[in-house]
Amino acid sequence: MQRVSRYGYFKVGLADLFDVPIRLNSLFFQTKNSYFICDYPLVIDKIFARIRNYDGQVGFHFWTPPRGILNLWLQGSSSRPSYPKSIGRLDVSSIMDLTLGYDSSNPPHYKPSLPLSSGHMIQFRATSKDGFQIVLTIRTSGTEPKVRINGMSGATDDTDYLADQVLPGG
Amino acid sequence: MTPTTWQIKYYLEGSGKDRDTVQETLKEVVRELGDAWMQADLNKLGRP
Repeated sequence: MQRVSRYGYFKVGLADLFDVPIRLNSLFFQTKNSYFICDYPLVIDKIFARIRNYDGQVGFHFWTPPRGILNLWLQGSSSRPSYPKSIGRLDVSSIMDLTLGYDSSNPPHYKPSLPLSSGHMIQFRATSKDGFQIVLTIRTSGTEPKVRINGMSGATDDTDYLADQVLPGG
Repeated sequence: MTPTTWQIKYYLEGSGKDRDTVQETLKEVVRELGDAWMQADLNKLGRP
C-alpha cells in the first residue's frame, strides 16, 4: 500500500490576543507581547546567563551558547539555576527553562515535560497575595513554539484532504 | 541568512479580579523586565 505523508504546523502566536483587559467570567485577562532588539548574540547569552544566576550563587557559569549550557547542566552539577524570585509586586511561583531543561514544578528530577528549545526560552509564573497571576515567557528569535501535525494515509487524495482540513491555507 | 540584529521576545499574560490592577501590574512587570532583568540601558537594547 502506498503511504503518503504531509507535514505542517501551526505557529502559536499570542501577539494578537488581548491588548486591553477583557472580562471572562469573574476575571479580567490581558496580554502584553513585544521584544527587545540586540545587535550582539553574546549580549543575549549574557542577559540569559544573569537571569539563570540572579543571586550570583550558582557554582558554574553560563557564558556559553545554549547547547553548552545544556551540557553543563546534564553533566551533573549539583547546583540549580537561580532565577529572579519576584517581578513587580508578584512572587515567582514556578519556572520552566526549556534551554536548560529545568522545570521547578516537577520534582524530584526537575525535567520539563515539553521539548527543549534550540535557543533561550524561559517561562515564569508569578502570583500575588490577592490572586493576580501572570505567565511571562522570554525567548530568543527562531524559537517559535509550534503545534506539529503529522498525517498519514494510504492515498494521496486522503492525505491531501486531511491536510486541507487541519492546516492553515491547506 | 544570518540576521544583523537579534530579538529577545516576551509574551506576558495576566489575570485578576480588578481591571485597573491588571493593566497597571502588566505595565509594571514589563518595566521591571526591561530595566532590571534585561538591563536594557546597560546592554544597549533597542525597543520596537
